[in-house]
Amino acid sequence: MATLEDYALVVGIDDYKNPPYGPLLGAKRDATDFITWLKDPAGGNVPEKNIDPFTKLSDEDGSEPDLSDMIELLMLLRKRAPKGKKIGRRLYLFFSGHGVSPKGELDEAGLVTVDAQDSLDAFLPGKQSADQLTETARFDEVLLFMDCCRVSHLLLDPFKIPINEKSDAAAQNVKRFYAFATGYGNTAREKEHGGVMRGIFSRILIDGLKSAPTNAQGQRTTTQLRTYLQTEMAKETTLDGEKLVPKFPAADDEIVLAEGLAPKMSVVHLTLTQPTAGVEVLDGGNNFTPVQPSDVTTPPGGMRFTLPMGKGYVIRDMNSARMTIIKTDQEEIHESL
Amino acid sequence: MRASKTAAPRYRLNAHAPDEHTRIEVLDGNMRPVKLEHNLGDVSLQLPAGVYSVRFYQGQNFTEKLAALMPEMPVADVSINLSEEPDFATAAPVPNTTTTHEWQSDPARKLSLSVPKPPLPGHAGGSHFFLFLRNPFEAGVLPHGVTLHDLNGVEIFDLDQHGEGDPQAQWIGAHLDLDPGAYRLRLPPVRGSFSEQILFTVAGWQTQVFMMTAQGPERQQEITRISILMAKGGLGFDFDRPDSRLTEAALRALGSQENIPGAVRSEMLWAKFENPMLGIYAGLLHLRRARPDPHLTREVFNNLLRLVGPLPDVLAIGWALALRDENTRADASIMTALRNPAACAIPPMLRESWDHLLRASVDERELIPRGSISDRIGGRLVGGTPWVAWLGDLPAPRAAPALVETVAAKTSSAGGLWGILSGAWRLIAGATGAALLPKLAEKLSHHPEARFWLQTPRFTDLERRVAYWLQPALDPRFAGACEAYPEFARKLRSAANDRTTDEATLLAELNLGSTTALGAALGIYYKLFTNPVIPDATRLETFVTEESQQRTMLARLLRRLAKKPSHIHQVQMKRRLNLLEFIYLYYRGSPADGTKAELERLASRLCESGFVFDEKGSLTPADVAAQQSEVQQELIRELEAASMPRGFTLPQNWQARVLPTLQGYTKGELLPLLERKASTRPRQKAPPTSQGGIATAGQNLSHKESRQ
Repeated sequence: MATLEDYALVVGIDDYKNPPYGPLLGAKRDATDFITWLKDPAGGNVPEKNIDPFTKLSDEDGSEPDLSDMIELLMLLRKRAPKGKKIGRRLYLFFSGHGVSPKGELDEAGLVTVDAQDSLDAFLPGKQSADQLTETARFDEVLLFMDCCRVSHLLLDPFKIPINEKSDAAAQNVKRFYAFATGYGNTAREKEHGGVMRGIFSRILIDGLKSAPTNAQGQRTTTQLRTYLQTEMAKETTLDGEKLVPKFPAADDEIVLAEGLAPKMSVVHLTLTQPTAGVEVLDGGNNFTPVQPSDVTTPPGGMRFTLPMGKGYVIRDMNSARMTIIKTDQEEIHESL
Repeated sequence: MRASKTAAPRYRLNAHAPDEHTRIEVLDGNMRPVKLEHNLGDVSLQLPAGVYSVRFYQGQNFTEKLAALMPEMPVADVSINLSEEPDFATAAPVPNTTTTHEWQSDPARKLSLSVPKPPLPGHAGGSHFFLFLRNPFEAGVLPHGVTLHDLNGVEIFDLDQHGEGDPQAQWIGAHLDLDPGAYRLRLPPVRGSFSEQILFTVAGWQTQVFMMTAQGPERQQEITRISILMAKGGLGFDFDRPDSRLTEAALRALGSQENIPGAVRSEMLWAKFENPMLGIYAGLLHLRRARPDPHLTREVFNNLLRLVGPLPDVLAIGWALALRDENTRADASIMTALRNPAACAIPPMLRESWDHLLRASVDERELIPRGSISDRIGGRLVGGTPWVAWLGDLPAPRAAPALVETVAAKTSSAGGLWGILSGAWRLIAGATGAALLPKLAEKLSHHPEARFWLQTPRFTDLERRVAYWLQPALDPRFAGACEAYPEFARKLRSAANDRTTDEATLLAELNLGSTTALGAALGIYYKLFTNPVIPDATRLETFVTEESQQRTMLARLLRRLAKKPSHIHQVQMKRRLNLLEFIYLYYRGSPADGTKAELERLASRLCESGFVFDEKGSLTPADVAAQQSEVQQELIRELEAASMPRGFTLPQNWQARVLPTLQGYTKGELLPLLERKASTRPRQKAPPTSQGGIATAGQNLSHKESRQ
């Protein structure tokens, strides 16, 4: 049986013409950069034929994509396999542009399409679109990225796009990872970077897909990507007095994005405040299984070793009750015991 | 036999925030979030052994603490003290935030304690209103255009002109003495439109409104945060007051519906005695719990009622409890206090309160009076704010469909507006008594031109929203997809048929009051089915019957006009009036107008709906007259041709009586009566009126002509 292929549906909209939505400067570029990563054999490695037909960038006169175009893209994607059959292994959904949050739908973000206007908002509910493909088990893994605001000019009526098919029991095995640029009711931002305007979330997302720290097994998974997005976006800038914080309406499943990589490590500088016969390191994310760092050195008054990034550990004195808890969220960690 | 499994031991993690409204998040040792049932104030979890990160959030900022759960440490209590609380952004310059500066909080306090401006002309005063606008960001400016209006929209105060401030310190404010009551606060226009929201002042209290601008030069006109506090007269804005930061935290928690309080801390709710806004925020947040404490909520409600009276936000707390608690519903004194349409005619300040009142209005039909401000804000509410705010000026009260007015005139007011609207519907539905919403949904699905007509200016935005909610296939946003994928169009229709079209769902999803929604539904019915712009088949058939004067030949002649196109057409709809429709409109006027035909009115009505004359791109009364003249000539020719071989004689001067002038027209005399020659046998039967009927352009034209 042939291996199932990966697919991507990518939309970037800059050219909004109708008030209250003004033009954007970086959404199409973000979409293009995401496509570049998708097509890169060292990146997403998704065949062009599974990306290009499902890509929509806004045209300069702001005539497309409208909401119908978006629905047509989703319909087209479904046509890749007969009803009830799997289309591919993994689906990437990437949407950048203006965004809204329909009333009361805390986990939803809508990508505003070019036909939106003051009295009648047109938007594609991103999570709903992804969920419909998940519930029918048309893919094994569905990743949704939305770089758009989640603030509504007007309070929007929620609506359901009835393109769902019969749900499939296999849906419970479908892995999901949904990441939004911002929380419910908040704005996403563009910022100049390297002389061009970029969505802050998209830029950090693509960086993370390329270089987020790996786990101890040399895998870059959605868990690492999530931590990377949270950490790097908080560093980026503040908006109206607060940090930028991405949201993850579905992030419980772990999806491996890349493997066979050298694990990214944190260097732990441990100062020993009392003499000790030795310390043990316990993995706080794996039932306190002992970890044996292979590179322990003992500078005067302490120890130095490395641990995989993005985890919680307990470091314990083997001969006493003394212990400390650490989180390897930085390259260098200074701790004392 | 199955091997018994030993469950992994679990340990207790208790996270405790300094206040009831700090949001808590817990991550496991792999930095994956742990699912929480509630997330405000206190969290207590049973978890497997591991390292956990506990994050205490205020706004988007957090303070993180680590904990380990293991056999040696089966319980971990994690908390932060006041000094560890994360800073967050607030509109009121309260302690320990990212946006508080002494150079703004000190002047705010001073101004709030100053002697208020004297009452405005016509105002006796009695309540104080303190308004403070600030930009806390470096090198910022203040937006212009903040004004205060009375309930009728009349401006009573302009902050730019009459406020006092310090441009260097980036603030402007005012302290006013106003009549106790409700006011409309208008905010500067953003993206072309200003927004408004309601504020209340109460005798003996100072209402304090703080507004904070957005960060960055491109967003100078935006006000991103608003805080409303209330202080007893003479106390002013007290920067050091211990509950000021708690109030801001509660407001932030209220801003996101995913925040649900944990353990009840009575000290927060008791604080309401001095701080009604905190009482309202805390009461509303408490009601998000799966099982709110009815005694506590009732106490909050009663105390708030005593402190500030029946503000809509206070009533909303009472209604939210009454909807969930049988004992409260059985308490006549509470229910009497809650049934207060006069108070609910003005919207509450908070969105959460608004949602509760809408839910209450499903059964309490008169709770939100028609034509009131609460009734008129539907469809224009601003998203992304905890406040009830609407875009643009308040729309004028909607005109009721004539049918509703007729029913209103004929019925007593005992049943109130709901009774009138229901009566109107019963009149339409007749003996079937079918529920309006499902019936309307079904009729919409069968109307071939509903999509087009709904887009004409005759329909309001609200009516369109209700129609699209009932029948999404009519929504122009889906037009392209429906055309490209008929399967999608089918699914849209079947989804609409499968969905619940009950009133409660409609109100909840569209955020409308009960009478507003029913009024809109009736409006659609009236405009589309009862009194459409173009006469329907039944009207045309009646017209033919009346104008053919029981002469089969005249009836046939008139019916034949239904197959002939006029010059008047609508491009988008690809709809061309046929000649029968045209002469109906010409002599009887549009059913939408319901009055005697007038050339100008007809041209204007058709123009409004996008009808034009051939390729002209417009339609004038002269065009309508020209079309009438053309039909007249055609009928003269046809009448002459038809009468000769059948042995009819035409009366003298008969041409002048074919489609007479509008002024000379009498109902039933559109065509001259034909006289049969003596040798011919008189007709016995009246022309059939039900055979085939008249086809309108949107219907199948395959009806059979009656053969004689």
